[in-house]
Amino acid sequence: MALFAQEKDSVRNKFLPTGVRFGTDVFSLVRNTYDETFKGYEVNADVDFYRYFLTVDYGAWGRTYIQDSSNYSNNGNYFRVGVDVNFLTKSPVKNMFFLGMRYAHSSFSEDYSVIINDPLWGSSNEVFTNRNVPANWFELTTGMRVRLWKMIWLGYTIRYKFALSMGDTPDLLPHDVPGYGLTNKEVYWGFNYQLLFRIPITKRQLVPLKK
Amino acid sequence: MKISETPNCTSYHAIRTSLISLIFTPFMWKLKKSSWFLFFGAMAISCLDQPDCFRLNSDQIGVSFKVLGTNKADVIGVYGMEINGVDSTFYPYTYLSSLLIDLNYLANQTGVTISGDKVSGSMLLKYLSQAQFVSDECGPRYILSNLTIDQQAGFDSIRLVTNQVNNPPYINIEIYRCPTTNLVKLDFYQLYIATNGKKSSQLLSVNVDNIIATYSGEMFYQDSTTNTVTLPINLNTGSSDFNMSIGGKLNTLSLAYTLTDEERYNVCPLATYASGLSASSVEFDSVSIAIVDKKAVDAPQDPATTNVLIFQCPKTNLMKVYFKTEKVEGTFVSATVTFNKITNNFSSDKYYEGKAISTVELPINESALNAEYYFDFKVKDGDPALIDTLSVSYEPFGKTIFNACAVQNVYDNLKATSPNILPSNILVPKDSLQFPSITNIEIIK
Repeated sequence: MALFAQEKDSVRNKFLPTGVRFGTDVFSLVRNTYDETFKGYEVNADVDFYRYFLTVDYGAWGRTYIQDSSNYSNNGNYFRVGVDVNFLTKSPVKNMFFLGMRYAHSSFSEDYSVIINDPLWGSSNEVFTNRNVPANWFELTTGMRVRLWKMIWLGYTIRYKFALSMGDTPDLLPHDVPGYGLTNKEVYWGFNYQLLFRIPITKRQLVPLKK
Repeated sequence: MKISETPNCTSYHAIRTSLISLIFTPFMWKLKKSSWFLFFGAMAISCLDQPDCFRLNSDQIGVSFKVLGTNKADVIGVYGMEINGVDSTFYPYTYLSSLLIDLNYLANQTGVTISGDKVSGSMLLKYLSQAQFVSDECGPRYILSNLTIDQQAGFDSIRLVTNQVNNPPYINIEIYRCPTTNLVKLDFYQLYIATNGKKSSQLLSVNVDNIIATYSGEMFYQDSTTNTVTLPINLNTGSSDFNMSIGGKLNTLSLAYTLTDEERYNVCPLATYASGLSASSVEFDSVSIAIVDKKAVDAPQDPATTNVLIFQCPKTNLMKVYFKTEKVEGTFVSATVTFNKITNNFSSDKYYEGKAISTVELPINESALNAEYYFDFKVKDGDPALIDTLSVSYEPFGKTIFNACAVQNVYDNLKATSPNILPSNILVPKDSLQFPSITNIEIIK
C-alpha cells in the first residue's frame, strides 16, 4: 500500500512544473536594425509539465513600404498558444527537441495609397484602409532549446503555418498578417531564434553543465 | 541600405544564414543532423515565396458564343467589341467563338457592347473589386469577384457560368442566339480501297465553280476549293434543288424534307424547322444522308453539322508508271525524269507538262483494250527529241466494289511493251489497276 502511494506521488511529481522560461525572438530584434520596412518584436514563455510544455507567444509587427507612387503600411499584434512535446526526456541538462502545435490569433490594420496609371482605365489616386481585422491560423512547430549557461537558454522554432482565415475586408485584401506573414500563400514557413531565461519554480535543481 | 524581401532574397537570406551560423556555432555539435536539415529546408522554402509581378490582376472574363438547342460553340463574325469609357474597339472584324473582356478594376461595373454578324447586344457587368498590395516592385493587384450581369439588351439569351473572376480567365458568360433552321451541310468524300483491302472513304477537296440555289438564284462558293459546303434550304416549300458546277461538270442535288412550325425556345420567335431530309442526284456517283451513332442526321442543325454525304466512286482506270535507274548492278533506285509532256493515242489530253518527276499516273483507254503513251522527255538544247512510246494492253471485267457505285469496270492482266525500250527494262510488278493507284509498270532508264 505504501509502495503504491509512493509510485502515485512519483507520477504526480513528474507532472509538476519545474520552471518557467521567458524569452524573446532575437531575429525580430536584429531585423529591426537592418530592415527599414520592418518593426516588431516577439516574447515567448513556456512552462514544463514533464515532457509537455505549455507555450504562449505574444508579438507585434508592422511593415512600411514607401515608394514614389504608393505607400503601404500595416501594424498589429498577435498571440499564439499551444503545446510542445519534448523528445529529449533523458537529457540531464533538460535540452529539448520538440514538436508542437499552436493556435494563433492576430488583429491588425492596414493603410494603402497608390497612384494607378492604367493605359485602359486612366489615372486614379486610390486610398484603402483596413481597421482591426481579425485573423486566425494554426501552426505545426519543431525546434530545439539548449541550455547555454545557468539560466540562459537558446533555441529556435520552425513554424509551418496553415489554415489562415481573416475577417471581411471589402476594399483591400490584406497583404501581410502580423505573426503569419504574406497572405498570398495558403501555407507559410516561419522561423524564430530565441533567447530564453528559465526561472525555477521548484527546489529541484538542474544538473550543472559540464565545464 | 534598404533590404527588400522581394528581389534581394539571396542577399537577405545570406545575411540571415550567416548570422544564424555564427550564433549556433558554439553548440552546433549538440544538434542532431535531422534538425539542421529541417532548418535549412525551411530557409530554402522561404526563398521560394516571392511574388511574380506578371499579370497580377484578376480582371478579365471570358465570354463564349453558343447556339440555343445544340449548346454547341458558335463561330461568329465580330465587327467589334466596345467597353464603356474606353476609346478603343476590340476584336475588329474577327471570327471567333469566345473573347476576353477587360473589366474596369477601378470601378465596380463595366458596360460592354458586342457587334457581330449573328450576335449583337450590350450588357452591364457588376462585381466587387478589391485591391491588394503585393510588393514594392509589383505594386498593387486587383482581385474581382461576385460578378453579376446587371442588365443586358440585344442578346437572345445570356448565362452567367461562374461569378468568380479567375487569373488566367475562365469562361464566365455564355451568350446564346436562336438557331438558324435552314442550313444543310454537305461533305464530299472519295471512296477507295485501303492498302489493307478494307473499303474506306476520305474527305475529298473539290474545285467548285459555283453552286446555285434554283429556288432563289443565289450563288454560293464561286471559284473555291473545299471539301464541305453549307447551303440554305428553302423553308417555304418541302424541297430545294442546287445546281453544283464542280470541276467544270454540272451536277444537280435535290433535297426533300418535311417542314413544321414550332416555338422551341421561349426567347426565340416561332420558327420553321425541317426534318426527314433526303437527298438525290443523277450526276453525283452517290449521295446519302449522314448517319451518326446509328441515327440519320436528317434535320438541319445550328451550327451546321454534316447532313449529306456526296461520294465519288473510286477511279478504276488509273495506272502508275515508275521510272528507275540502276545504281549498282542489280540495285535500282528512283529516277527523276523531266517531261516536255505525256500524250496518248486516245485523247488530246497532255500530262505532266514541264514536270520533273519519277512517278506518273495515267488513265487507260476505257473504250479499248489497249492504249499507247508517248513520253516526250526534255533534252538539252541542240540534242534530238527523245520520245519513248509505251504500249499497254489490259482486260476489263465488271465488279461491284461499293454498292453505291454499282458495277464498275476494273482492269487486269496489264501488259506493257515499247519499240524504244528494251523489254528487260520494262517490268510489270502489278498487273491489275487499283485505287488509289499503285505502281503497275517500272521503266528502267
